[in-house]
Amino acid sequence: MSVSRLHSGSLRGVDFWFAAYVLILLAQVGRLPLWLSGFAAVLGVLGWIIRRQGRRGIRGRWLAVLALGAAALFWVFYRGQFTVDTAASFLVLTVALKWLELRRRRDLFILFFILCYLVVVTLLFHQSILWAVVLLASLFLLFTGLQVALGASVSGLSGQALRRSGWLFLKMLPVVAFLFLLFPRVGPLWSVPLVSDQATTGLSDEMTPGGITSLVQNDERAFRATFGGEPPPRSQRYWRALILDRFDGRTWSRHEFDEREGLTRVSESAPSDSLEPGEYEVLLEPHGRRWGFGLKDSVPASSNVGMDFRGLPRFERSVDTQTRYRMKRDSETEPRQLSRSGRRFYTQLPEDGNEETREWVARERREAGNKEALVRRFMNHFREKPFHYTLQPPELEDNPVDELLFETRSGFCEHYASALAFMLRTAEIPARIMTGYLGGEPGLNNDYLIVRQYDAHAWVEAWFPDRGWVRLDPTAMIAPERIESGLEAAMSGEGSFLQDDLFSPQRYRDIGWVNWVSLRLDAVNYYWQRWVVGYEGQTQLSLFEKMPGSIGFRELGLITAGAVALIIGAAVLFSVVQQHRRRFRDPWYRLYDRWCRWLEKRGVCGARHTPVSAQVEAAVAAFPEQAERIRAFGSVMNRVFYQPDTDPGPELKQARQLLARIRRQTIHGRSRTAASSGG
Amino acid sequence: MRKLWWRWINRRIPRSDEYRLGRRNIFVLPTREGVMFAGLLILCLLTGINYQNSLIYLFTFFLGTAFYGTIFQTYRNLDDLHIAVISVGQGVAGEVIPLHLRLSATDGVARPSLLFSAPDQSALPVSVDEEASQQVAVPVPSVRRGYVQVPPVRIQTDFPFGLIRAWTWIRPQSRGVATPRPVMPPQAGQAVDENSTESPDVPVHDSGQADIRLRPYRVGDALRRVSWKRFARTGHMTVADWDSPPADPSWIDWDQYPGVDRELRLSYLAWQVEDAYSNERPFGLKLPGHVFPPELTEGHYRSCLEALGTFGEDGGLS
Repeated sequence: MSVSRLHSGSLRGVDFWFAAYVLILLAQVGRLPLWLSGFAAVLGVLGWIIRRQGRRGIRGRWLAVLALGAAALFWVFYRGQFTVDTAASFLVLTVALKWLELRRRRDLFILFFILCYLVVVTLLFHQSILWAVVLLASLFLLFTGLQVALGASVSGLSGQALRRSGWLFLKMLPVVAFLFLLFPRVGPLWSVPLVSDQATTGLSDEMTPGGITSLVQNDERAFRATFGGEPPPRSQRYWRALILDRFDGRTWSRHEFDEREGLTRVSESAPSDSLEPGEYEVLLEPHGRRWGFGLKDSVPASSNVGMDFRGLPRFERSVDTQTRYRMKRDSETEPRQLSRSGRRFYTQLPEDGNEETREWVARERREAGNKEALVRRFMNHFREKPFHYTLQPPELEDNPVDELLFETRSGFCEHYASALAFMLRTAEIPARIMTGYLGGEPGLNNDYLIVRQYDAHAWVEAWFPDRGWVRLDPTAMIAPERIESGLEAAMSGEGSFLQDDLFSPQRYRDIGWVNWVSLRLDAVNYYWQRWVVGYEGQTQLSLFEKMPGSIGFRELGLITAGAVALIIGAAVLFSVVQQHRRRFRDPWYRLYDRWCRWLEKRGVCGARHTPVSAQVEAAVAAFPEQAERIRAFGSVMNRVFYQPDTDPGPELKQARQLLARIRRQTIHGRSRTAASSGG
Repeated sequence: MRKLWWRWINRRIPRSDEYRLGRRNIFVLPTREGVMFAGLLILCLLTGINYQNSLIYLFTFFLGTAFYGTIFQTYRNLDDLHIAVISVGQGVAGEVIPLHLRLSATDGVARPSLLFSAPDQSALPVSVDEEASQQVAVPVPSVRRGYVQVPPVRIQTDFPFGLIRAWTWIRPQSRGVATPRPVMPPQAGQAVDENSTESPDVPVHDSGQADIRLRPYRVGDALRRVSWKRFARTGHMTVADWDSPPADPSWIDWDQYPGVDRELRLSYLAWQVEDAYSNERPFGLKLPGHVFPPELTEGHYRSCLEALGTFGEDGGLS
């Protein structure tokens, strides 16, 4: 193409892209480092100003300096991390710089391609309905802008371009839906980690007093769960995630560590057929860690989740996108034996500190006699003494357990769990802290449970040789309503439920319509996540297994290929028919065409540009026995073509019949006519 | 290979002065950007597969079907466009000749961003409106004097997205004429001198120009006939009128240059025609077998040049 320099009008189209860029940037801004979002925004605006002035870019030298500077800053910030996150950030950087250099057609397309891919990459981070719609809109803007940019010499194109790309997207919608349903979802190949370091909210793998309390002010969704059959009662819904088994006098932490992940495969999502009784499904929001949530004594029932040696759900990769997995309730999953070293490990405590508690435990131990009685005494202690469940506990100083038990007597689940575990370990009963979530409210129609961050909970498990690990929850002794009906009820006296979050719909759940709207919104998102976002290999297969015949990926591939061929064929056929129709819309013209074809076939003066009267004379000469009909036909045609004012409607049928008869007669007398037309 | 291709094209697109574009003569292929876009689609699909991301599949299909739909949109930008050759103009051999075309979108749909290009010529961007038909002049090259068979003129469009290109060729039946490249004859200086004294610019006192009458300008008179020198002097528009042929029209004669090579001789004659016409001297042309009586009109000038251009060609003067 020789026209490679852009007209200044092209830059009008680029404004559409600018709008798309703003949308994409909005989606990215939570993820990008501040300097990069700022940089991208400033360069975008700069590019816009440059275009307003009718220029096409800044000097190459300045651009190079800017690019080098940005690249250096980028390198310093990300330093060799190679994840999709950094790659996407790099794309943002490139686009930002490209705004300043739009000289040629090639630049335009490079920008277009990068923006398109950026839209696609953004989907890795956002999969909610809202963002999907926003990103689709930006794709639409990109295509519209491309039209305007390329056809810049055409005035008034913007409106047309919008209409055209709108139609294009709309017309292709069935094909898109079709491909989406049928395109075989093969297993993943390999992939680099999605994100480098995560700042999402969620459980931490350490517990210092105050840690969970901060989480409790957050109403973000942690996960949703669906049960096959009746869900267990609320007080039994202890979602286990982490075991904190090391205590340094203040902080509980994890003994095991997740190894750093390298290139791994993203595992396929769980199937989505109906759940067996005893099975349950968790739709986990991304939290950037590798743990999952499960009830006690359940085993994985889908291939994308594993189990660690203590029976807790674990993933092969960090959960950086929404993940759906299935678990099945089973018999005990953790071996009921504890080695000598295990006993030692689970009773480890710092050498000193919290002396008052240690003395108290020793006293109780002498009085109780056996261990079970001792544990009962501990729990009774929590129930009977005036302990106070609060989200605003006073600060604890050097001996947190002592202060909690004997002075302040007010705290949150983590404080009490920590104290109980300390007491148990002092009494040489193996104990550990469990963290996870407790409860969950029902979603729309009780189809599923919604578990939010404020459902985060910590409790204790203690080891008894004949019973294995047994759950002990001191919070249940102090504030049973927290277990039975959730945090909001437990905090109703204090009024501290979601006190920092004025606009949370969860806070106003008791207002009817707020609850109505928020439940429905959540349900829409849930089904979107489950059926559209979660439409992956297993789901697809389970959908097609219901159909007759065994349909596997191979068959799906064949069906898709066949269908695509069919679509292409149909489109071609459609255009052929349309063209034919357009050309032969006039019945008289159709008739005339038939007449001409007949003449050509019979070898009578084939050329269509001879006038009708000449054609008639030639035909009469060739078929003298048809002379009368041919002349009659000719006169009708002549009248129609040369006196367009007369209404020839009723004659159409007559003319058709005439021609049909002429044709029939001449077929019968073929040998004769051949001889005469030869002469 | 190339030859085979062209033979096939020529069979598909017979020479004609009227084309209605359609399935038979429109060709569609992705542009370089289109191929890159296909690469982008594969990249998106791979991303979707690797991260098991259903939405990426969905968006990839959106992009893919948009690409597919573009094939039709681009095709439709040419489809059913009516192209008629009005005329093929005249031009000096070796330079461009205008090919006048009339474009009409009979189905009432605009056809933006068309590019017309003859081989080795820069492309001419054209947009056809939905209502009016439109005339364009496409420059086509000419190589040598004589009738010019117009080379295939390529009409292409990559509207709307530049990802797909649809194109066709038209091969007009009408021929153009390339006139001989004017060359100044060696004795021309003398001839000019001789003639200039008799030129109608200074006719008043010249008895030799008795038949040229001067009269005041009337609306409708050709501006060429206004005596501008006189106008500059007197401020009155005066017109030189030849109701009868000038007494001594200058004849441009084939036999003026005996022994000169034919092509060169034609070039000399062409120069003389140009010279006479631009100096507003009535002239006649004598060619072997044909004589153009003296006149000073544009039609005369053109037919003289055409006679020189087609001299010796089939269908021209011999």
